Amino acid sequence: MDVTRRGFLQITGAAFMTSVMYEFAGQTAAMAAESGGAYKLVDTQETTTICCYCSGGCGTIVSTRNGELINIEGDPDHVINRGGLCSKGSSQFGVNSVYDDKTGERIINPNRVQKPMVRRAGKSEWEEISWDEAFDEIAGRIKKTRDENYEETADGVTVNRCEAIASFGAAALDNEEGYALQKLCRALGMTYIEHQARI
Amino acid sequence: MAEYAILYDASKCSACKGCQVQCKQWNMMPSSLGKDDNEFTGSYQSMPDLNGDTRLLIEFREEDNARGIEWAFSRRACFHCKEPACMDVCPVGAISQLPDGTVKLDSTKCVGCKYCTAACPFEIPKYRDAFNVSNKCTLCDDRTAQGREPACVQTCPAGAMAYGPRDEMIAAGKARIDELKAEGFDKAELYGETEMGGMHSLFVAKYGYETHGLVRDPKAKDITSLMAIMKPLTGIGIAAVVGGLGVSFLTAIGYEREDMPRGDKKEGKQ
Amino acid sequence: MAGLGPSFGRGAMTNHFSDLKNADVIWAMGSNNAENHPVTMAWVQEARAKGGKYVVVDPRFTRSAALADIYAPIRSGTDIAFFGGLIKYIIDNDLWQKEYVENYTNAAFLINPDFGFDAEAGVFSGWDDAANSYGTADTWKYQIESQVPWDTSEGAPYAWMTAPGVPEFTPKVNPIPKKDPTLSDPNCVWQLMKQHYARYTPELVSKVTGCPEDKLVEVWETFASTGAPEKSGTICYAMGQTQHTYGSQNVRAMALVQLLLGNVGIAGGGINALRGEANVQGSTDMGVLFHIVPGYMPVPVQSKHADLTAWLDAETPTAGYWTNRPKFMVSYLKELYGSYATVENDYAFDMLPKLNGANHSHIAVFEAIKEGIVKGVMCWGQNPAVGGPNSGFEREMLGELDWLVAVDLWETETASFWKAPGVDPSTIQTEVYMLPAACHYEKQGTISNSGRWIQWRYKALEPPGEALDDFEMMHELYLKLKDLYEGEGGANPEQITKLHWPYETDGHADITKVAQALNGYTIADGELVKNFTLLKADGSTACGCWIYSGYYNNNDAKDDPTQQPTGSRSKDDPGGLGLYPGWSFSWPVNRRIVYNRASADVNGRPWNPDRVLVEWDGTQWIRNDVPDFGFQVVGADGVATPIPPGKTAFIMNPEGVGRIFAVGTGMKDGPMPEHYEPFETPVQNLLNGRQNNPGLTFGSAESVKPSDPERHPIVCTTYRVTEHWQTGGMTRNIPWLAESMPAMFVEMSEELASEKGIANRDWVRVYNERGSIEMYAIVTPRFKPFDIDGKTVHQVGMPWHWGYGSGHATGAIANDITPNVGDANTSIPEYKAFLVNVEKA
Repeated sequence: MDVTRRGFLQITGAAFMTSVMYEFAGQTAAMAAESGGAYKLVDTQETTTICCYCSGGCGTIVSTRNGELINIEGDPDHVINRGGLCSKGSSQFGVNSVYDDKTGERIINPNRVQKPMVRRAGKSEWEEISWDEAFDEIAGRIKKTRDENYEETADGVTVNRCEAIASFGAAALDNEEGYALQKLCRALGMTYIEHQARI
Repeated sequence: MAEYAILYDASKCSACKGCQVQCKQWNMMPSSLGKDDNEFTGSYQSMPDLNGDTRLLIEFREEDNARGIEWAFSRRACFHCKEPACMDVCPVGAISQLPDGTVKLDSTKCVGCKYCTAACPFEIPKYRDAFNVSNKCTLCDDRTAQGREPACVQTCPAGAMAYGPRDEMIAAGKARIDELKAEGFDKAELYGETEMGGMHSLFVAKYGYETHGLVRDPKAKDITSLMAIMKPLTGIGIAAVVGGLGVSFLTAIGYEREDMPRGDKKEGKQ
Repeated sequence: MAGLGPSFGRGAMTNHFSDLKNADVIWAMGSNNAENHPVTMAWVQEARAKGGKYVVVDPRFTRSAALADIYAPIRSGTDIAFFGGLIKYIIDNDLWQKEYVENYTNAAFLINPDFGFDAEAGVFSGWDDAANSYGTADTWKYQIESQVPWDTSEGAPYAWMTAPGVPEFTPKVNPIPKKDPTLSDPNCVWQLMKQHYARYTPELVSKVTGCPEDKLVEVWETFASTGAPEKSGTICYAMGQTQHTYGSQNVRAMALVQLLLGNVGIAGGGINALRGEANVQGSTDMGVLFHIVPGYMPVPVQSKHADLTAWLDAETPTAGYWTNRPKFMVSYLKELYGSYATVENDYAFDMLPKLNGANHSHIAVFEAIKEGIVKGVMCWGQNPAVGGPNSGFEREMLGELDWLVAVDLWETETASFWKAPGVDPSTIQTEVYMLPAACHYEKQGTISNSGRWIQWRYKALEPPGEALDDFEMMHELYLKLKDLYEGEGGANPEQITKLHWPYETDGHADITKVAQALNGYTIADGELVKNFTLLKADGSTACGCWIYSGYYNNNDAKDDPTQQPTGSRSKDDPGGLGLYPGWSFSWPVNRRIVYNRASADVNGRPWNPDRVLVEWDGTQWIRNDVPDFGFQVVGADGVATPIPPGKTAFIMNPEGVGRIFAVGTGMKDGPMPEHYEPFETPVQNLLNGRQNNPGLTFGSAESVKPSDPERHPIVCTTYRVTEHWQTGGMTRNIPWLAESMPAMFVEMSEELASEKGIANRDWVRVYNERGSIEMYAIVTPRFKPFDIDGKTVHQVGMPWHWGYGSGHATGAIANDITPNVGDANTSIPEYKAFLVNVEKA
């Protein structure tokens, strides 16, 4: 059985409508009559991504319809995983959405943080804040810590550093984000710049 | 139309559970949204058995014997029997056999009587509480109708599963058994060629049926003959009666798979 | 990775995933690839289908072991003994690949006659007890035959350094080492190696590792069979090798084995570092580490890099491809500071913060918090409250901070450290910000797999609620800081305000602009450069990360990743070796197997005609992969002239060969690997007179609280399972995975369980001086006690995926009892071997 049916993905790579499904319209209609639902991927947009877990780089197809997540499975055309995904890779759908165990409905994963929050000193609860407030406060704190702990010279050498702020993480970011992060940190004079490669 | 089958090769399975999770993903099956309410089985196995929201489970069994450690992985899901006991007992015709051999359970027709569970020699169909229906593998007939592999087969990163014409899968399975025997796995055997009239989900049992928890010479449960009388009856009133009977039958049969870890966390080693 | 760089020149996986199918033997050592890199298994099975063997050596009988042709047990932390024995076995049985070793390694090179190893003291020459260091390791150097100064005259190779705009630095003089091609000089590397590993007999290695002698020899014999020129063997490793106080030396030991067998640079060979996170290769490439900037260039240190000239003088090697480093550094500085960076101001070199020379690694950050140095912390998708060593101490230190910013998809234990069990939030004054991020398919950008393939991920849908992608957050934060410093001034405002940050389109953060900066461009016209060979040291080019140059170089579609090399999806496979040169882009310059010159003999004939990467046909090079050596010269007229075969197979090393002996200070703890016991161990070192690696880091920190071998005699190791990932921040928040592996556990042998009165699924306590944690027991024959020199040593193991945080599966934090001591070279913590005791709870 020929399952690598997505030659045109080789050309476009990114996102496209699953026009291939229209070829099966007759069958789909028949099945819809039998099981009470249309084929899951009809009229979905497919977008390629790479799995977020191990470092294998497995190709993954995300199917959405009207901006809603419908399905995530391995990319059969991908030369490394050839459609395969392990349990973690197969669960990528769950990063965004889950199925309600009472109703079976798809809902946004209730564990996702969806608003910026702050926990004030000594308090025992989170408070919601706006993005503007969050950026204002964080930038203010970075500036205060930096300005109070900045060294321009040491032993007669220009060092332009601030040892009082540390940054962790980057292995879960995209390369371009990692680059921007080290650039931002170094422009603040930071020297404690670390990520998961160290542990 | 040619008959199709899955071939699962336990000697290549890395028990990553990709199939188990992708089955739930494709078929939109939930897991509990509660905190810490999944039972710990005492092994790497996710749960004691299939359940209403889980159609495919990777099982773990281990033995330390003269040949060394045998850590046997098994894919537990509907075998899609050629002579499906579940279909024979379904009082409402919710279970049918497609031309390619797929044994399909139509949840829109199912009344949740559980006869299928009772009749199945493997107790595969499970009751899905939230919807009052039985649930089991459909061989992803929605995908196969589109010319695609079942979700579990496509997602296997180890290349331990294949899907294709049944005769080809049998030939491939037998060839694999020969290879395994040559490698010294003298108990290796293929499951599903003849069992229950022949199955549409075949199993390369690296360490032999027993070590993988496969039932040798499976037979439909006794409920089958009884249900042959009940089956012609239809209608809402009858369905209710049948439903009631189903519960008592299940209680009476009390089928328990012995080699599965189950019970509460206070229990000792299985 | 720190062991690969000093061996081969680059600190990255040599081959890639689909190449595993070409191996005759695949050896997983310190890697549980079936569980942690499941995609490898289809390729392993393809190799096996062609007669290949899959060998697994691990303290535990893992899901990898279950599929292996040969499984051998080994006590945690004894890999160097295992490899050292193999080196001796290869030499004694004459199984090494002679032409390869003689030409492509430094076996024939002569070392300073004062070099030596004192087995009684357990140290190499140059050890200074008072300084607790090998210092400049003066005896770990080549004997020099002649000195060749750089030719900077017009038209010569180094003419570029005299061009206008190139910062001043001193032309180098390249020392040519003395060699003995007969390998018989007592000071040649071959003889030194032979002598060094003479102590690693099968009997002794068996006593140290606890691996039965027949099993050892079976593994050695199987793997050494790949020393035949046409055979290839690969070693897959992961954190099982690196998370030791001598982790870098574990990697070096593999490098020695692979050089001896001629397995580096060939299809189906190599040392394949299966990295632990989706983009940990990329984030390392990006220099998000205290000691390197993007593209593996050292961060300036105040004592030796007072200005750019000093940096170039110190960090430009005398020969090899890294002599181009000035071009890459100046291009990086031009990317950072744009038009502000000029030759007059040292290309803004002073704007890069300089280190004070102290260790600034992960473990050090928490010591610095304790000392009141670090006061604010940002976490971008990292969860040290669960993932850090001695994590109880790390959580305690988070409470000493003024502020903490946690950027993540979830409320991690780091974000919620102030509400950990037993913590009274009112006593913690840290202000904590939790910022909701977008997941990988809710944004776009590239990710680099272990095989160095840089693949684009496209955005499929919007993130939920108000979540933003990390780059947008960085962008907004930068703009806010810039405003603040422009408005209010402050400490050295120019460091921020002069930063070149053009990553916007129509007022919105635009990641494709960063991609262009990473690829590099010529400043005059903004055109993307084809690759890094076009970068200049004269300030005319900018490039964020030189090794990525070429991944995003299509000037006709700058905003369209699908039209860029990184977005390419061609499945063409010349040679049928799974190289797929048209699928995405592999750094460097789309080379799939690095050091591929070594795949052919000195005359350019492939060792195996069925596995051709490059081949000299007498007049030109046939190329299935991008050659990793000078293969042609392109004249001013654009005509390419082929270069006949030379012997330089390792172009990143100045001497052009792979290093059996790591000269200079490339390795801080020895030029050849030597076995030491883990920081915490129940037994004596049987191979030399020193118990622990003399170079290990943080061993004397008060926070470490070492276990007592009397009270905590059980070896413990930590690991991951397929169903979860890292601290579980992702996976315990996904119901399907929480269900797949619902609870924290410790695995132990039936023998130990019986001694302790523990049954399967009992609730047990695992403890040492650092903490005490409770979990289920799995009692299994897959764990066995070790016989170490006649003494029974028990080993247990636990996954580290659980924590108290939100989600569907909570459990004890394994790292609450792991030691915060580090490897001598990298300071990676010793998660893989430490001491505990176990009892029924």
